[in-house]
Amino acid sequence: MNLSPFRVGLIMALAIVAVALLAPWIAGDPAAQDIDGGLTVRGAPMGPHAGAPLGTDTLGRDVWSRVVAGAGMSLGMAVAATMMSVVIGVVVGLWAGYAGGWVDAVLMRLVDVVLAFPYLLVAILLAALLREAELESGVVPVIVTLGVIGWTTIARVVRARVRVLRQQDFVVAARASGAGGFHIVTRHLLRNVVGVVITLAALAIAQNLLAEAALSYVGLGPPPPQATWGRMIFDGQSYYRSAPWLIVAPGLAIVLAVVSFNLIAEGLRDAADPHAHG
Amino acid sequence: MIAFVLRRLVWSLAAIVLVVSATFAMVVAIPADPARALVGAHADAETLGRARAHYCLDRSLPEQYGCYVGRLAHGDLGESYRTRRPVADILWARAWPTVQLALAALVLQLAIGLPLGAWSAVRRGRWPDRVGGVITLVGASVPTFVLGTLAVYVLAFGAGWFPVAGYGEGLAGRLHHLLLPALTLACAGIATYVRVARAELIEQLAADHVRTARAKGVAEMSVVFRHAGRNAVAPLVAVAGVDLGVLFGGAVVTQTVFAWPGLGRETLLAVLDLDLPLILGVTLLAAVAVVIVNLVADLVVTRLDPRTDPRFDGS
Amino acid sequence: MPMGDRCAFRVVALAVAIALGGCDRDSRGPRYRGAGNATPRSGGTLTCSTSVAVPTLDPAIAYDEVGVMVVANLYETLLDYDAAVPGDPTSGTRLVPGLAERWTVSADGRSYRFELRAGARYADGRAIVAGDLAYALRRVLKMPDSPYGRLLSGITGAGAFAAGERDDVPGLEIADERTFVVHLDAADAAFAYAMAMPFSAPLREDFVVASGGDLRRTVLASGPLRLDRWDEGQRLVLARNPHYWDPARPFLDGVTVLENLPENTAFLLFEAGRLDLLDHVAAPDWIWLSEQAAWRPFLDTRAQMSVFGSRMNVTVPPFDDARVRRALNLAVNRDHIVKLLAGRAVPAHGMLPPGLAGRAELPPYPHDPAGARVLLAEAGYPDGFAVDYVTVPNDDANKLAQSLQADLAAVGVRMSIRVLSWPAFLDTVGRKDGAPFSMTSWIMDYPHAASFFDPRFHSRAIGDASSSNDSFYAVPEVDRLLDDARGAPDPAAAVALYQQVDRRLHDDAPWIWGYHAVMTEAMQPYVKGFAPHPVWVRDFRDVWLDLDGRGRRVPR
Repeated sequence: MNLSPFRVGLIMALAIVAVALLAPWIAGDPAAQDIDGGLTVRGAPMGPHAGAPLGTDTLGRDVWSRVVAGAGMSLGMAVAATMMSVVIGVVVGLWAGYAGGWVDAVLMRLVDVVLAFPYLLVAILLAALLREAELESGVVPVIVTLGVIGWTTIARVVRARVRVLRQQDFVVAARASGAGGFHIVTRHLLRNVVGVVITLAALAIAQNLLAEAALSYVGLGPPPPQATWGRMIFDGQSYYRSAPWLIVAPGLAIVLAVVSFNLIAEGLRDAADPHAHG
Repeated sequence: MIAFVLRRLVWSLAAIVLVVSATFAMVVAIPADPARALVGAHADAETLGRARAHYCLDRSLPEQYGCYVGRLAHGDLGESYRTRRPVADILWARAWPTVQLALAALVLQLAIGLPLGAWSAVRRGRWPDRVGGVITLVGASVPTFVLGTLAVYVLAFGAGWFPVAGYGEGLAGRLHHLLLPALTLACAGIATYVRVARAELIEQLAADHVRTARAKGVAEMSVVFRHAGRNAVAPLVAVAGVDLGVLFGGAVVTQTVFAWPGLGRETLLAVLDLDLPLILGVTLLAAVAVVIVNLVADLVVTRLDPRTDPRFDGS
Repeated sequence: MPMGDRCAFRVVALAVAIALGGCDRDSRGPRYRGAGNATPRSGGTLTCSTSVAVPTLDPAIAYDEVGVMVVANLYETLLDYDAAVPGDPTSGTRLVPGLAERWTVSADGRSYRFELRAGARYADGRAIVAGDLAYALRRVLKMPDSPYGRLLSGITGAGAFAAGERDDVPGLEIADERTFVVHLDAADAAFAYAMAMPFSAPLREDFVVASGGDLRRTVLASGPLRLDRWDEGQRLVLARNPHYWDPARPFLDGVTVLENLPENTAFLLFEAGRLDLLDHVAAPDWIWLSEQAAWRPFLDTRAQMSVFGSRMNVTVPPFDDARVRRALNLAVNRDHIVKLLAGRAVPAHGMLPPGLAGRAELPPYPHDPAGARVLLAEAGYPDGFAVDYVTVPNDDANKLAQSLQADLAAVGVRMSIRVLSWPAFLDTVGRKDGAPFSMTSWIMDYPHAASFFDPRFHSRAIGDASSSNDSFYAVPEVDRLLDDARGAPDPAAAVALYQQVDRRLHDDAPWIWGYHAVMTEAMQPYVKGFAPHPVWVRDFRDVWLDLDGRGRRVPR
């Protein structure tokens, strides 16, 4: 079998998803602390040993269990945020591209405005704002933050695609036969942007995995004791020398996941654009 | 062209006003007690009352907004709550290090990404293409904190090749201090340039005029760089324009890890402290910078590649 | 440089080693040693760092730890604290003469008379006179955003002056050039401590006027050091003040404070011998240093004048029942807290830290989950309850919140954690209708029981918002004890009253008492005469560097 980058990426991504789904069987409780037995006498995390194949963290929790739980959490957050971006981006892109005129102008200026915000500033602000607003502590603020910021590229690409498509015969024909705008958009245009949107979504998932780590690093990630990869790196950052497994385990997990989704995106892009195909 | 630029400027101005207003709204929507953060958690009611009056914090939100806009109209960005330092001073002091870091990162991305992309295009499908792709991809997939910390520990502390942190003095010292953070920051973007350069070159190499040049027996290097390369520049400039905006605004983690005195870290502290005047100042500066960079990039792209429609044609 | 030529392959190996999680740390110990001078040697510059930026050098504004530390070395006050002595928990908290050669309190406790040292000068060589002290205090009172005005509100006429109702402060009397008298409305044993805080340091009016009233980066030094240069956000360079009143001090030529240096990086620089002092040592680095025999002699700790824990709003259920609050105190495992903080903490069972006058001998709250369940059942919560817990984004606070979560889960209390930024945190805990359960901490303004009790447990400190008494604890008897103690002319009587308050609070348990923080400091072997100071953190007056005859460090 030819191992194209796309296949490698897909296999890696599926493996991560499988780990996340199998969590109850292959890992323990990610929140179970063991301060007496899981830390050294002085309170340092313990390296890999029989009870904890990847060592323990700063609260004596099993790092392996947390990395596995993190697969579901981090990936789930990245996918949820991406879905949000996709919905906003596709709606805005389709609408702007099909309607044209002032609708297009206003929507594209909106994109400009969003792009004119310093990315991390608005991420930090939004995360802070949503965190205060939400009484139940959880991952929702982070998801919404990443989702609200990430839609602009999708909107631009979809709009550009639609502006080309609407001149084409099948759309012109549909319009001539009296089809309504909603019908044309959902039946004809949407179908033709699905490919490019999936490519962008794969890229966005990779971006969001990294963004969660960055938000966590500045202390605005999901609240403790959530086991997300970014949160784990944040919790272990000052231990990078004495207990490197605290960084290495979630760090490698992030790298693997990001690489796999980037490979998938690259494969999809090459498939859609034969010119660039190696 | 002038009409296009003017129209863009008007839109940009509107975008900047919107961005600053939206930021103001977001900050004041966070329930917080800035006065108490200002004069300390130990403060009594009288102290708090005086501080609130002094900083406009006892007014209604529209009045507070008016307070800010009124001062802004006179060129006064206000004082940071946390340090009482004039915001304009802070921005002035932090802007140049930020620009240096962003430009250095961009230069590194181009210097590494373009040759790698060109090489990949020429050796398409063979091992340099594959290996280059994998390395840049992994480079772009490591969280910045992990990459930065590893760089500090291994290259600066362990090998002693670079300073561990700081800004450096004199040209040589500055470059020495700049290289490691710039490299860390650049890592995320190199893959993009490799990909764009590769894709564009492959397309151009297949184009007619390049085939002709080849058929005439023009040397391969010359084919790649003179004939194919020229037309690949426009898309790269477009990418670099957007990228520079990201580099300006997104270097928080890098600046923190390397103690680089840039705007990113200042921004982070401002947001964590809900230091409203400083947050608005940073937003204003960043919005202006992004708008200018995008405008310049668009103009350059239009000049380089007449096929490209100005982005705002039909509207 | 650190490893330099040691082995080229090690650079690569290190990356691999980190990846394998088996990274063995270079344990060479200190790179330099003391030169062996028997007596303090003058000269040399000391370099230290902070993970934040120094916000301001204005003594009337600086309120954060590093700001106060710097300002306290630049500005000299009438009174000062004695030097910190390792092993003596009360050292560093006793008032001693500073600019004032001696001071007396009138029999009614309402007048303080300070006599200035002869020959006291500013760094520019001009003499310090009594009028400068009055001017500095008036400046603070007039400032809209100084945190310190409240400490002067007891001075006769201060309130009216601050409000703009009169142009002078009758309570500030300049008897002659070298005699300064302060009159209070009522006796206040804690007032003398305000005269040891940098905001009360003398300022010359003409200097302040010439700098436009802005002392943020313009310094009229009267302390052992003066400002040489400040590259804001990067480093602050302080130099010896040649006109300091004590001609023998300081020993150092200067002090450089590197700003914005993350703790991880600071530790690398310290190990490489580029930093002379390292404070706030992070848990993993402290553990590592404590395990190195070569480093152990150069580590020092000192209990901070602080208390950390969790505060409850005692006016809302379930926290309005003292049995619930006591139950939670029994549920907490304080040994875990100390272990999670890598030993940088002392368990707390009440408000006052060790070494502070007024601290009572309190029976400890044992870790007793069964007892806690009984109390909860008695209070009507046999199955516990669910509650939100608010904390701040900091490494230790996050760890402790999670540990508390586990401890409370063991007695049936289901707690979820919310992390808020500092101003948002202050808002919600300071409101009666805000979050009823949160992390809390208190670091004194001055080392006196009043600085712990009055702002946190006196009913006067309760407001609808921005309440510093954020347990909303209002007990008339405690109010009375606190007021009596402040006015008590006899310190011993005051101590007895404060001990009653300490006991009462221990029993009423408006907080889950957590721990008293321990300051950590690591120093290079050639740094002498340094001990972490409970108030100033870093007092550079007695510090000297044990260098060789040519002023160089001696390699080990």
